[in-house]
Amino acid sequence: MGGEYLANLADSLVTVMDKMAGLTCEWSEKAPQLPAITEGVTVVSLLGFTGAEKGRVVMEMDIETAQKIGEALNQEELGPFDKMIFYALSELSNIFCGAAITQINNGPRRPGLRLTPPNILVGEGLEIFGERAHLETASVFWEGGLIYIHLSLEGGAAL
Amino acid sequence: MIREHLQVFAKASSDVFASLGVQAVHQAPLAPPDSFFSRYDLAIIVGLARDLRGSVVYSMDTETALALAGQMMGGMSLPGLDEMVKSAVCELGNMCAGSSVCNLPGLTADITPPTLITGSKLAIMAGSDNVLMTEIATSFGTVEVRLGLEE
Repeated sequence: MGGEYLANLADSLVTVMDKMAGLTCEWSEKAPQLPAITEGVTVVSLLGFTGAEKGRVVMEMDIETAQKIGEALNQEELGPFDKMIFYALSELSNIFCGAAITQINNGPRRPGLRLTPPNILVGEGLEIFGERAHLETASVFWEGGLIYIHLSLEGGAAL
Repeated sequence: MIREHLQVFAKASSDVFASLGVQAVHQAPLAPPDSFFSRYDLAIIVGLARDLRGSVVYSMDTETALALAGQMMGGMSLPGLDEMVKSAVCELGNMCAGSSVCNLPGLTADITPPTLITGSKLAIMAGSDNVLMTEIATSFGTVEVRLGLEE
């Protein structure tokens, strides 16, 4: 189930990156796992979901990748900590997770998942911890950088 | 409405601290955060869905988190943030947010599992532009509460 959801999320991000920013991406399930994958300044977008399953989606990247995505989405040059970068990432994560959750909800299980709005976190040496959760990670890459998608579902035994 | 909701979150969270034997007083004003940057290096994020869509973020010093977790474990002195302590801190966030949403008048809200974030120079954009924050003074240190809700 977790793997299926992760595939939905990764497919959705690849599609949204292409449609919104014109960035051609590919994704792979081979990725390191949390915590603290990215060194230096890390940008994280965190969305929770509730419904038949509870959990969270974390989109993680370094600040340079965040800046490139922000510039591609805004179609202008931005400084490394420009607020517009983080608004763009917030919107991007809301759109790709929203599309993936809709697809999951319309699938055979119909889990009725509801998404929370994204939280954007920026910091050095970020570590993320979620209790009682089974974690799966995918990496989405394009020529400008690497994005990790971490999906965790509460009650990992169900996976 | 966000002011009223944050009052509920602050009151319910203070009550949870008190139930653990921690003196907690909510006396700080409710105000929009003046910066995305947090003064603290640890944050617990709990998402809100259904009637309220957004998130609540509890931020504090690591020392405060260790003391609160130690109090939850019967007054233990905890040396550092290991897996057990992180789990206890997450549970504290879960208790505070869970108690808060149960006290929201006429609203039903679901909470997501808590997520603990640690790091230096932490900046937090909580959910949306509609964010208010306040502080709870406890006997173990200050806990900042940020509530971000969609309009």
